[in-house]
Amino acid sequence: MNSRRSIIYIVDDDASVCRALSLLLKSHRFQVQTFMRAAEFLVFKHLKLPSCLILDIRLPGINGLVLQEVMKRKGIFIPVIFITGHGDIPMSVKAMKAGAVDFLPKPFTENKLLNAIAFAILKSKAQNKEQAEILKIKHRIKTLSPRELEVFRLVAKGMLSKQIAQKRGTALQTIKVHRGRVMQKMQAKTITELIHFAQKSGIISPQH
Amino acid sequence: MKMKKEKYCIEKKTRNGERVRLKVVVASLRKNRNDLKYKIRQQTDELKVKNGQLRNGAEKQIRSEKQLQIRTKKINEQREELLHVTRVGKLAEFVSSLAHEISQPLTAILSYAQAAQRMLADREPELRKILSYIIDDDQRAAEVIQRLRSLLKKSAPEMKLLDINALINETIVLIATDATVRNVILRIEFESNLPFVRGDRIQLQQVLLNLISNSFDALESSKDTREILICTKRLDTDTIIVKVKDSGCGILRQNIPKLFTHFFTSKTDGLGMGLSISRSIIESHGGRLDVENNPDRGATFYFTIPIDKKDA
Repeated sequence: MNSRRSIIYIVDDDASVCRALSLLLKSHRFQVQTFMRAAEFLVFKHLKLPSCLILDIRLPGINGLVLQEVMKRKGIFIPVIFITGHGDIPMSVKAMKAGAVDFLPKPFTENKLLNAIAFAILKSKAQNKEQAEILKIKHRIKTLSPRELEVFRLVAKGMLSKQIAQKRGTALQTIKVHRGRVMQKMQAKTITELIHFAQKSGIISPQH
Repeated sequence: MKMKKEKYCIEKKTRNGERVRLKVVVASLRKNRNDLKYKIRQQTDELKVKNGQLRNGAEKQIRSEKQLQIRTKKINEQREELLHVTRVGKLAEFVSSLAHEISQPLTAILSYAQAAQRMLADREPELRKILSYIIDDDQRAAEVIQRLRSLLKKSAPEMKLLDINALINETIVLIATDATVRNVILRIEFESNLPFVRGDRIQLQQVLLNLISNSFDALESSKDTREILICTKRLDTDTIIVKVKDSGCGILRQNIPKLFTHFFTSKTDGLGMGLSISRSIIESHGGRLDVENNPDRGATFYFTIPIDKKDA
């Protein structure tokens, strides 16, 4: 694992647990950042590295499960590994359903933790890649003119140029020109790719 | 036989020439005898009836005594059951808290040892061996706690529609003997026709018993009024409030914030689990358990419980 280029966040209200986990993970050459409170983690400026959060469920103030929800709402895409000394089955089900990578009852062995981290980092890399791609697509969308954006939407919805021309009351040739420009600006080689971009950026989800 | 003897007697007297008078005497004698016979029979019958009634009464008394015995036995069994549930509940909660408290340092110890092992890499094989012993024993401790916890898993509550007044009455029956022994009077003031609440009978009884027995303890040193008042009231459209008020020693102001936390107790033999469990039970029912000192003396513990929506 390319440890040095990833960061592990730890949120646990027990100072000794934080220090011990930090020592252990640093010995595996991870970058580590520890927090005693969920709120401290939220205000921290997260690094753009593959990362993972080792999160205690029982915390004063915002507890682990709530933090997981807040992260989702705020768009913080960091895979979560829950650790708990008090875990029961309904709790772990809830955590896993909300997208946690793993749920480790305390105390856990180094191996279990490292396996979970390895998986979380993979997930984080995939997520980062996905986010970067979405960002790129969104940037490209911003370069479209309003008319081009509309054509993009209609094409993505599966309409043929002829149908768009009819709907807009415009010449087919004009639509074809717009469409060509959309393909070019969006850097899409095929229509399938263009539709894929539209889906990823969310412009053809029902809300748009 | 008797009749024949009479006839013989009449004939004998006839020879003496007083036939008519004798006949009359005999007739009146016979009448008297018949009357007497009748009266005796009547009285015998009455006696029989009375005797029967008496016997019936005695049987009934025996029956009701038997019923009473059965009822007492049932109450005792219920109380035993409740006490068992309370004890197991207390223990489970205790172990669960303990498990959490201990798992924190165990986690730290394990990670420290594993970090040290890693830092030593290939050096100091003996030190590394010692570290591996630490790791093994850490895990042994964790397993002990895990086993203990799985032994004392709490069963899921059974939520049913309950009449809170009836539930309190049932609970009072369970604790009545205790109250007598401790010379405490239990008084109730119930609002009638309260709507149903939804809850676990045993758990709510556990809370009530806990509050009442705390009041018993608070009254222990009280010389004059030894009385506990339990009242129910509809607080608003969807809540019922239950109060347990005593005239005991009250609660020290500085203890009030800690009162509902695990392991806090002001009693010499207390575990400090009763009120914290009670609060978690009431909260799991969607209510609130709290306390305030009375203006004059003693304290009032109260809890709210939501009215079942279908019944509100």
